Parts: sequence; C-alpha cells; structure tokens
Amino acid sequence: MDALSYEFMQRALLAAVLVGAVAPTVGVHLLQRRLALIGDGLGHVALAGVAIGVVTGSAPVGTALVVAVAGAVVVELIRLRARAGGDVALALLFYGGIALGVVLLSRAPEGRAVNLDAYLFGSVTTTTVGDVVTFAVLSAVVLAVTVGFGRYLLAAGVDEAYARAAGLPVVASNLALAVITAVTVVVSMRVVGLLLISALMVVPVVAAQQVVSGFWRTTAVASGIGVAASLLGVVGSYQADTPSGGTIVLLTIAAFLVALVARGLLDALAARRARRSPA
Amino acid sequence: MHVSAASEPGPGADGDGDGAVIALRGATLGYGGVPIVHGASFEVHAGRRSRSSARTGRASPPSSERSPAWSTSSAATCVLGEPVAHLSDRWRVGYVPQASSIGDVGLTVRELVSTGRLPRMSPWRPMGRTDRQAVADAIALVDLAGQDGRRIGQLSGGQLRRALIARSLAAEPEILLLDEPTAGVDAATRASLADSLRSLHDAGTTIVLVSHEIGPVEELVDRVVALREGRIDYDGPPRPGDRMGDGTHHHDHDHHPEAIAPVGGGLASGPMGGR
Repeated sequence: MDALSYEFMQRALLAAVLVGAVAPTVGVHLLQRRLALIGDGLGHVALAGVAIGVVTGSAPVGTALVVAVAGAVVVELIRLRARAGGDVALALLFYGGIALGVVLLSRAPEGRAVNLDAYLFGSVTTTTVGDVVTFAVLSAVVLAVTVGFGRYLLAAGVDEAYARAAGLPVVASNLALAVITAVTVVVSMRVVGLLLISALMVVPVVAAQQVVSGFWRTTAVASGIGVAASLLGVVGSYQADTPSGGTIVLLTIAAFLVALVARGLLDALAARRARRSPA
Repeated sequence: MHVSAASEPGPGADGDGDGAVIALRGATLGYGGVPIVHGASFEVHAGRRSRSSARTGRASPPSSERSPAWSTSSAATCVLGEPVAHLSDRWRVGYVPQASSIGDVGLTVRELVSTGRLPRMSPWRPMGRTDRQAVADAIALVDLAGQDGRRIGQLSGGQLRRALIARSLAAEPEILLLDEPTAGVDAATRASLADSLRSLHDAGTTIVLVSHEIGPVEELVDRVVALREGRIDYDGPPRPGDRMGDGTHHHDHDHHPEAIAPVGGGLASGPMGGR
C-alpha cells in the first residue's frame, strides 16, 4: 500500500497502535468501577490545558498533560472526601474545562490561529517524531500501571470497602488510575480527539466482554480490538479521505456489533446443544 | 468517630495464645459522628490450640451494618493485640462485607478470589504456586470448585456470598468477620452458607458474625453478644428463644436448647437507626 511509504503515515500508524493498545487497558478498569465517562470529563479538562499552551506559546501536549493530570487528581480527592459528590464534581469538571478552553482559545494572540477541530476530533497525520517518542514513553508508563499493578487497581475497583479493610493501597490505586486516565486522554488526543477519547477506552472493552470471560482476557482482547480498529481506521481514513478519529471509533463500534452477533450465535448454539443432549 | 476509651490494651495479646483476638474496652462506636454502640466491652478469644487450628467459633453483633466494629479506630478497640488503627497485617482479619454489587467486566470467580490473596503477596511478584493453591482451597471450601471460571455476574445471590467469603479466606485469615451473611437470602442459600461456615469452623477459624438473626448458622454459634439500644444486653452462650432476638420467642425451640443462636436481636429491635 503506497500510503505506508509516507513518513507521516508511518508516524500516524505508530501513534494509532500505541493508543489503540493502551486505551482499553485503562478503560477496563474504569468500566469495572462504572466510571465509563470519566475519560470524557478529563478530555474536556485537557482542552483547557491545550488552550493554556496555545495562549502562552508552549507545547499544547505538555500543558494539556499537566492540566488533565491535575484535574484527575482533584476529582479523585473530591470523590475521596465526599462520596456522593463525585457526580457533581465530574459535571463541574466537564463544563468548567471545556468552557475555559474555548474562552482562552478565543484570546489566542494573532498569528497563533488554532484549529480547534484538530484537538476535538484528532489529526493523526500531523503527528511529529517528537510526538511519537512522547506517546511511546507515556504509553509504557500507562501499561506499567494497568498491567503491572493492575491487580491492585482491580481489587480496589471491585470492592473498595473490602480492599481498604484488607489493608490494600486503595487511595494510591485510585490516584494512579486517575493519573493514567489523564495521561491516556492526552496521548489519545492526537489520534481520536478529545471528544472521542472515551470511546476508544470503553467500546473495545464492551466488545471484548461479549465474546470472552475473565478480566484479564477481556483486557487482552480489548487491546487487540483497539489496535486493529486504530490501524484500519488510520489507513481507511487516508483512503476514503475521512477524519481518522471518527473512522477509528466507528470501527470499534462495528467490532462491538460483530461481537454482539457472534455472542448471540454462540448462545443459540449452546442452547441447541443443551436441548439435544439433556444432561 | 466518637470514642470513649477506658483503658489501654494490655501487652502480649497475640491472638494465638490466651490473648483476645478482638477486645473492646468501653468502646463507643458510631457512624458519621453519631454514636451507635455505647461503652461496649467484650473479648473474643480464639481456641486454645494454635492459631491455625483455633477450635472455637464465636458469634457476636458488635456494630451496625455499615460500620464493622473494627473499622472504628480506637485505643479501646484492639484486634489481635493491637489498637485497631495500628493493626499492621489487616489480612489477619478476613472481612466479608454484605453482598455488594460488583461491576461485571467479565471478572471470574477465580479472579475475584485472587484479589483476596493480594495482601499476602509481594507487589513485585506474580502469583506463586502457594498463592494459587490458597485461592483454589478457598474456592473449594465454599463449594464453588467447579465454578471458578464463571463470571461473577452469572452467579446466584448465594454463590456470590460464598465467593465473597472465599475472597477473604484466600488470605488465610485468623478471624473471619461476617456482616449479615444470611440477610435477605432464601432458605436454600442459608443452608449452603451454613455448610461453608461449618467447614471453616471445623477447620478452626474463629468466626464473628453480625446478624439480626442466624437461622441455619445457629448450631455453629457458641457465644452471643446481644445489643439492645446500643448497649450490650447479653453476653453468653446462646439462649433458647434468642433466635428472634427480642426474648419473646421462647417457644418452638425448647426441644433443641443448645442449638439456638440468637445473634443481634438488639440491633433488630432497638432504635438504633443503623439500618
């Protein structure tokens, strides 16, 4: 495929593979805690970070990272103090972040015109070599937490009261998950955009859940679906001249639908077999 | 948390000797700043045999549903010889919460029970053979051996409760603290829970359970601490008729005097607001 001979395509594919592999490993922990939409909130906050970067003339990825991580920690601390207030805190975060981002960007100095769409919906073909290196390092950090220490995140996510009673590091686990969620949001920003990040974290997991059992098996399959959707999405969007972020997310949803049908067929087969040979 | 401490814990209580595994000395415990249990003093002892083969199971209702007594920090509350706030190896007390709803991301019984083994493992090492064995033993003990690959979301209520007990057992605790293990479950489930607890009891685990009524578990109970209006109302062997906890149901049980396990009547009938 001649598209692959372009260096910008190679960089785009590398970035897409990293995000596709890593985002679902975070999403599976978020779903376990029924926090499927927190990535969305942090995506909104990251826009404020992007705006700060644009206005001050520094790299938007760096400022977005700082602001998103700070936002994630604040949400986690609020959740820790007021159990019932987590919901409201998230709402404040959603709207405060995106409003601040939009207002700040409107104040961007002349000559630093910003393509807001590129941040909101991704622009994977603008990935630089420096971006790829940054994304690779950040992805390694995220994977180290979600896989290396995933069992602690899992224990705290399954049953916080129990984990605390057993002396497991609940607060540290929750903070770690909050931070890597923010990191994932920023890494994914270039590939799928801030408004579609949650989809890449959550949809592959929901698809995997249809066809396999087991938390870790679900994680592995979800990661595979994420990689496949990202690769196909980047190549497909180049061929069809469609936005990469939206294309990738549509492919993950297609994977979910296929998995749903596959599961239905498997269930029907199992039911038929059970009827033929009554145990 | 409002606590009135009466005295410092004595030294040397270690849980496997003659010392109390749980000791409350004039402890006032509460929830959200509201005292619920006032000036409670009692001790729970493991059996006279070694830690792992402690013989005697005990039952008592030390707190309301949402505040397991040992989570209320206090010098007046000692667990395994240490003030509860400073208990270093918390896994030594196996806490079994009321059946909680668990998000289903495909988590299997084995994976759930494995999270209970974590307190005994080094953070830097994967599960070893001993860990896997402990998990398998815990699953077998609650009679879920054939179900370990099933998803948590597919379990019945009784199976989930047994899986939660297995999770605590995976750490090989010295005391098992159960919060309302038989609340809101049908008779068959209660019977299966009772079987699991009986196996544990026979294996020498000290069992403390909080309950409004014990049902089929009653034969296992050899001591009752009943609370009424936040104070200890009775502390001793199970009394006939204690089953419903208000002392008015003496009939029906006279033919079966030792088997009655009346735990927690005070919680049920007192104006505690702790439900």
